Amino acid sequence: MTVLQRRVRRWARVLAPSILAAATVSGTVFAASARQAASYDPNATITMAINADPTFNLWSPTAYVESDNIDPLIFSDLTKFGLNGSPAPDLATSWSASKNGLTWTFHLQHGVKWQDGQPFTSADVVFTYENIVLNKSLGANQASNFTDLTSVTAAGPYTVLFHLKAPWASLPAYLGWFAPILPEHIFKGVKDPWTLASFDKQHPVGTGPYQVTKVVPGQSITLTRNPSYFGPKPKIATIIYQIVPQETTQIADLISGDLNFIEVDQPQLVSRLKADPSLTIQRVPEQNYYYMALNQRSAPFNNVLVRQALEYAINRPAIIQGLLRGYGTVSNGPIAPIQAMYYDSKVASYPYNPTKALALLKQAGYTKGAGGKLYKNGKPLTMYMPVGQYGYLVQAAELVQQYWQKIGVTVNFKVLEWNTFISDVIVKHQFQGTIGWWISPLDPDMYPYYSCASAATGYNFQGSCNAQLDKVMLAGRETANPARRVAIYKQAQQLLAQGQYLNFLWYPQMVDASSSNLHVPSVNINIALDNISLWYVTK
Amino acid sequence: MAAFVVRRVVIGAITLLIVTALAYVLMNMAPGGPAAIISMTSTAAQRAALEKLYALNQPLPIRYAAWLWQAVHGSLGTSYDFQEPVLTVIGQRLPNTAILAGVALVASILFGVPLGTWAAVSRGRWLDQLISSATMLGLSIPDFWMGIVLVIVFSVTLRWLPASGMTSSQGGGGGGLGPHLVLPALVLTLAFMPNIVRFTRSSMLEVLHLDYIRTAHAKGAAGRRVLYVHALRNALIPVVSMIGLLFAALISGSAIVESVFAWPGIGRLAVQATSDRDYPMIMGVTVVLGAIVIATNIIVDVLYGVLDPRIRYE
Repeated sequence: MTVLQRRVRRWARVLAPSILAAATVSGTVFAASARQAASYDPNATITMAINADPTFNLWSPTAYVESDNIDPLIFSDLTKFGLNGSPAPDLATSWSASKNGLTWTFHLQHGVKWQDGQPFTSADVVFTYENIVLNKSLGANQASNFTDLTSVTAAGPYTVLFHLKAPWASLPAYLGWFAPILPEHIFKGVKDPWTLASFDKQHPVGTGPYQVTKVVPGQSITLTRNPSYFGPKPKIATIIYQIVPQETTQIADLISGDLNFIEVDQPQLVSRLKADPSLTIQRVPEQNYYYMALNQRSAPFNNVLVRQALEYAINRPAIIQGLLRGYGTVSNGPIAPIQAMYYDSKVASYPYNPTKALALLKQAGYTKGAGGKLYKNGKPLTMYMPVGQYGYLVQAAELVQQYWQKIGVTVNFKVLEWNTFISDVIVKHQFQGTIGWWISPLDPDMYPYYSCASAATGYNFQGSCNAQLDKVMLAGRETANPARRVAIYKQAQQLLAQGQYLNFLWYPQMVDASSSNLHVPSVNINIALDNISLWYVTK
Repeated sequence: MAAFVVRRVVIGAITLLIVTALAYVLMNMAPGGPAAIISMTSTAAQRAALEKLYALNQPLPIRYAAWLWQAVHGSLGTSYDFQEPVLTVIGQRLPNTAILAGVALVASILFGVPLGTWAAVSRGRWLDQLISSATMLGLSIPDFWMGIVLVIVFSVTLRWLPASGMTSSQGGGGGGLGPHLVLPALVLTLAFMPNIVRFTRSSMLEVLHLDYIRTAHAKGAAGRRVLYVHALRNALIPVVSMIGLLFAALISGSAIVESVFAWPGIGRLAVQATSDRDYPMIMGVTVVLGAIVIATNIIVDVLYGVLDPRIRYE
């Protein structure tokens, strides 16, 4: 036996029992965590934070982000999101599409009761969609997700049919995306559902795992377990939502014990929490992506060479490290890695390369002139960049501005108050460049954000339009065959990366901070709330 | 006296009317629109439908006239954000601010008047220097900074007091109103007390040099009697009128403290309504706060006449 062979044998003799021990320990740990879940406190109360008074009716146009974090516990949608992000049964037990993809049949749960004791039937689903969502004069929140839905009909008390004017494979995903079913017996005959304060602000009636037992306006909402919930019984008895508008106050409350769980979306605040032994910090991947949007309705940003050049000019890893403190990964498309089935990592990636940026701009006719600035036919390359004040958008945009100024673009930066930003940039398209983010369910359909049709009146505020991309995205909506969808969306991602219809920046990571005796699944908050029965508090 | 009060009330009502007109115009001139209508994901069709629902596609004078008609008949409309009557929401929040402002005002007077008096009496000496410097410090420190520092010290580090809210069910410092009131009231007091200290001091200084004070001393009255019975009572008259202005400032200046401490008051409501462009709520808050300021000033002026016999209202 050679020296090496003897060394290997010796190490094997040492490692093997270690490996066995490790396996035993991890097996014990798994068993222990299962036992821990079994030894949870069934009467536990936890306190979470929202930043304003919620509207319990998620379809109401005044249901802003604070409502998104509480209403999913009170109401059920037809579908919800499982831990892997795919649509799972909620009020619907199963579903299927017709051969031509224009009719979807949903079979509903039997024996479900509303929190006021009335029975749930298909009439509630029909009412919600026909009278609220599809009623254009009401302007319901998220109704624009259902532009292809023409009508919803019942086929018996526990079956509903969704009728589409064009095939849409993502329907099940969007039916679980902030799309609660409302009780027909309460809203029937109500002329303006948005002003029904008794329901929207005080006593909502849903079919979800928790019900509202106390509302103190401006201060807190108390939820207790719904005893007649049809789904898995939640392990936590009471959840109190405190209204705390500012994130720094939420952090102070978490540290002092007044709150048990918060999402921290400003990375620089995390380090203080990591050092605290009474808190558990989890990094969770988000399902949104940040981007720079260039207005492609006019020159020069309707030129793909210019957009590609500007993408090469941004050092994204540096911004992620410096501004986001590492809580993010570079994005080259709208489909995030957590959509494992569809995510394509092999698209054009634009690593930081100012030389290449300048070469592409030269191809587009821009050369460096006086003062190091880029000129074409004697005119400088300028960009009007209004940015909305929200989160870290302004800081991130300032960094991008610096990278672009370095290669010679003159960027006229303007900070706008958020409401003004929405009105000027998103509604009136008065911008040349800006920064933003999109969030959607974990479904690959990106048609509303990039199609030519939605450039004038929809989400495509950057005004991009590419006929080939349109065809591919439509094909993706039309087919429900998973293998076919994967292939189609691979092509879509390649086209998007190639065309830079949005200049993709990064996928952020959220940090969830909770008291160490509160155990929350390590997924983003939307999915975590859809799986509230998995949360528990150890004694 | 009665005629005076009636006249002041009428003038006050006219002032309020002008204020509402100005507010309505300015509010509609601000860029952006109600958050209830525009958002990142609202489409043109949704915006059009909601504008129609809220009657925002009518010309400004007609909208103002409709609002005024409604207001005169006792209704301030329905808030866009809350979808509840504006008066209901204000009625829930105003008492909370009143508690906070009331406690801060009482504390400011209780501590401010003696401090100002001592400063005036020991004018030029170390006590006066100390009080004047502390006053300067209190006036210069921004209240949101002070609030955050107090939260860091007393809530996060020492865990003696809760960090936010008006009441809570668990956590450090207990759940009741008292512990929750300490920090925000402290910040407001530290922010407004210096004004009372300085004003009392200068008012006392003026009074202490007047002839009748010298006469009282000459008559053989004890120093303390001269100070409290003769000087302070007269020196306080301008301070009373100042307190009237201060109360109005407290109610509206509480916005910052209420935001830092998540106190559910009218200040925070006003800030939120403004950034969300909740037009009915903005107008409602303007009317209510405007009425409070005007009423406070009328009361203070009447009180002024009661306290100072030299002032009589014909």
